[in-house]
Amino acid sequence: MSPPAPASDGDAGAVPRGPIASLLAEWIFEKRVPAGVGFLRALGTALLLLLLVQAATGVLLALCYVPSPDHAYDSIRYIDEDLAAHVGGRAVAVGKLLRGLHHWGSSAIVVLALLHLARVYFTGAYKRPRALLWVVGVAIFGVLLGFGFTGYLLPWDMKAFWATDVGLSIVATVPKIGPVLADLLRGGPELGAPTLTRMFALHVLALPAALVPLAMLHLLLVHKLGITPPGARVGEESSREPNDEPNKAIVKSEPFFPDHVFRELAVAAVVLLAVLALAWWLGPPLEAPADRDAKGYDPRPEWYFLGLFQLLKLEWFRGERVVLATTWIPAGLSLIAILLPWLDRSRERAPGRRPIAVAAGIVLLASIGGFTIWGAKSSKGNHSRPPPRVPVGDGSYVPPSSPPFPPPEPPPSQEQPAVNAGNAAARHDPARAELLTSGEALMRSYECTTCHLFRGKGDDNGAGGPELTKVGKEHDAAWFELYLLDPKKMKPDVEMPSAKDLGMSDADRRTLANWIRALAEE
Amino acid sequence: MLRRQLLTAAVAAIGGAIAGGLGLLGGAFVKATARWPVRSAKKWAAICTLADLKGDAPFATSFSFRRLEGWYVETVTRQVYVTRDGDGRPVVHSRRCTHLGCPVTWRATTGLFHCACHGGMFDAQGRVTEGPPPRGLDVLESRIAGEMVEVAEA
Repeated sequence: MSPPAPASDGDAGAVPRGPIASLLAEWIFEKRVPAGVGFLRALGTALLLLLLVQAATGVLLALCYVPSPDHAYDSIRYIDEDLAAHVGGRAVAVGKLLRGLHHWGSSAIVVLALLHLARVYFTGAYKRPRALLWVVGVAIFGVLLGFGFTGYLLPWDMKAFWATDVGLSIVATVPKIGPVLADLLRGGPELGAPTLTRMFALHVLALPAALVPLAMLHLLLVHKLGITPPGARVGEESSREPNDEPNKAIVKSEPFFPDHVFRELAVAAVVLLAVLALAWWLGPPLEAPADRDAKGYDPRPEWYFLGLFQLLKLEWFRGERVVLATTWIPAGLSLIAILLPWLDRSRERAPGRRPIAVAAGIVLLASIGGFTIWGAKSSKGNHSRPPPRVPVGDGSYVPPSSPPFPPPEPPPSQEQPAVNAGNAAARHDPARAELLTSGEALMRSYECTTCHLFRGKGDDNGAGGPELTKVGKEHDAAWFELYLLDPKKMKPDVEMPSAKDLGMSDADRRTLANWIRALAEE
Repeated sequence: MLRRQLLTAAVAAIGGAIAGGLGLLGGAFVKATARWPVRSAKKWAAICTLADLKGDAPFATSFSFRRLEGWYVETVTRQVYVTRDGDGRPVVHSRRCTHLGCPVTWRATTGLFHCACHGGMFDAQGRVTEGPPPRGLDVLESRIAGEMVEVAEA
């Protein structure tokens, strides 16, 4: 890609340029930026590049992700553990690497966005004529935090579940609208299946739909208004055309390409390398599957919410004052951020001439940073581990879901062999096949898989109950009949409801006892 | 001008490295998603007994097994016909027509497998006798275990 001849070459005006060439010239190759913009003013483009990486990795992850509690965790596990590429005889976990990039990329984006925001604040770049540019930037920051929060629930592990639960409870403390807002975000009174689907929809549809136009407007405004010349007071630069002659008289300029593009790409490359290193060595975290009845699990939010988290732990914010920490401080800071260009009307931009603004900024940054570090240090939280994976196709008998294929046309007499039922083992003992079918139906009706695993699967990935196909080996049917009547009597240490608790009839109890024995004989 | 050339080269190199690296990783990821993970050894399913194969007509039966489709455990049922080959060994044929996958049905009147879709026909040994199918019926890997005929789950 060779740059078009610069306009200063003299004869450039002779040949009319096509629309794409002139667009490229205007936006890249003939664009000029104020001299001395340096690496500090390259953060925005690095942020944009990282967002594009998030979009690309996000689309790929969406190929394999199911936003439903019954398969979300399994699909994440599949991405982490089953997707490998073979490079020179060595298996590289590309799924894990890609999810790692997406996970750590989100943190890097928050860091870059904060640095970008701080740079704009301390260099006074939010002042006229760039007030709208600043407001759009603040809105983008809000959308980015929204991405972080909605993406957090998607792996559906313990940390995802509990951090989101706490986050939504914080939303619920907002006066008046809080409870309604929290129910809307959750899709119900408690965090559950609708919450996961809705967070996914927000994360991949609604928030991108908000971010794309905001980011485009932001870019367009940056292009139209130009980068703030370092140190220039308000009114000392041309407000319309940064490349205009009068502007050049005041502010020296340098080419955007390749000088500034190099700085932007260099910052992006360094950040991406750091993200890649974190993804490679630390990987994306994954804990045990989400469990709403978990005891002793100590949830922790992502680091960029730790400051708020720590604030809420202060004694002073207990009781009614909690609203201050959950609502009025964040809302106040947001409002100040949005109105900043109108609150601070001084014409000075150089940090040295704005002692109050700079001091306020430092105090704010230091307190947010301090609370974040404090929160990180005082709360280690605890972690749970993913359970071992269940092998599939362990040779156990699978009852046919329907009779073997029905003939496509009504069989004329003696033309069709008798249609044979199911797997041979069951076909040769119809009574046994009947027992296996009716027993399983009963088991489903009493919802045994709420706690138990059945053929490796349970509603909650095994809330502690043993595998039903295995338990039958230990005792005979008569024993199981008594056990189902009152489990605690037969085994004092078990946590299993009795037949009375479940409303189980004696006939059902007998069928289930025989069924459990039959399962063990498979 | 040398500075400009160096910077342009650096921009091209960094941009190319980022785009290329992401492209490679993305390509490898997509390629890995095109296969299902295998988390268990090969399993055999019993489909009939040797006594079922006395008659001349192919024996219709089916078997079900669970397999991992990416992250999802699915129960799959396969419909098959079991016959004996010239040496009397059981052969398991898939019911899928090799033309476009419609199910074939054995007709005792013609002594052939008929495909309802495009008129494909196969003899009892699965060989094409008529119609568009490009090859004979697919044969599933099978073995004899005692009195049972078993097929490899796949």
